[in-house]
Amino acid sequence: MTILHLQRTSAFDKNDFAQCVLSIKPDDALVLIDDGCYNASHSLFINFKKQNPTVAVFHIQEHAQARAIEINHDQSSPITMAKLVELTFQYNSTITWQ
Amino acid sequence: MSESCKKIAILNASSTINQASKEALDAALIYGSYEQSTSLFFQGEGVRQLISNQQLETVHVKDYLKTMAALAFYDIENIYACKASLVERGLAEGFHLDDVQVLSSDAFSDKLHQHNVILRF
Amino acid sequence: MQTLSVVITTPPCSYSTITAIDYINHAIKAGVNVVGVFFYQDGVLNASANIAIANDEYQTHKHWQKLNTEHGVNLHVCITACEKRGLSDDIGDTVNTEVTQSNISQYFTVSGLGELVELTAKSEKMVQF
Repeated sequence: MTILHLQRTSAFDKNDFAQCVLSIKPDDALVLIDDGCYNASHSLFINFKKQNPTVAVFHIQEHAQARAIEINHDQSSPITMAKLVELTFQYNSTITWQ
Repeated sequence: MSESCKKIAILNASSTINQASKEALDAALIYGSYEQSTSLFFQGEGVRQLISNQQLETVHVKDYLKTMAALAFYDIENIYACKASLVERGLAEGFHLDDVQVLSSDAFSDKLHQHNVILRF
Repeated sequence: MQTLSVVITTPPCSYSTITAIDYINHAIKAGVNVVGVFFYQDGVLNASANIAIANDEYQTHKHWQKLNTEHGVNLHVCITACEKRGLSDDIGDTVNTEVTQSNISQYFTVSGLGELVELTAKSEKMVQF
């Protein structure tokens, strides 16, 4: 089964993301939401992307924009909240890392 | 009660002396009492909840860890701990519960992936 | 129709709660049947009848109210979690002991953890915020 990982906290502040990256399987997806968007420039995220280039990664565009975070679209695809609702139904379950 | 064959995972991520940890256990026990297939996962600071000889009452916290002894009574038999989290914290596998399965990060995640609803506290 | 339940564990003054409300509104807009919202841990504080947020800030409590009145979304609070945080629907009146008062908002339904189990069973997906 597949999991949609909702990452809400920053690895610069808390260690939820460290646990999240260890739990992601190839068919899962990662969504950076809220302060989770800050992870885009964290070494944990950069290493994760290097090791798992095919795992789907998204971020809520408005959440990144609100925090003046520029995320390279090669690293993560910007989505809307409406898309997040859609994604919820495309994966078997969700884990909220907060 | 609606019929459900969903598998529920309670992912414990908070340390012992923490209201969130007690409330996570309460939720797990309710799922169990409604005969829902429920598993407990301990990762990150959550692994601290499994360690023996903690004395919560010393700091006036109700010893909810004792309640974990009743998990089998609620048919909650799948209890998993993340080995990497234990190692990172220098914790030996001295647990106050008998049936804890210590798993590698990969195996821990494999088990999580077998559940339909995952709540993390 | 797709069915969804949401678990809220963040308090009304947390900006994280705004994201949850935004998500639920988008789910409704997409035609998803939001079977219920379950408030647990510090999330139950959202059910306080006494929340006052400065007018120029996001009115979290009013958005919950709107989800209930305009979209019929059931807002369930865990009463055990409520009572240890000072919220109750059974506050004794010191003068007239027959009368009980509540400081839980009328838009919320007083429930127990059994309702969380019900919502889990009744909805296709359960998302925690």
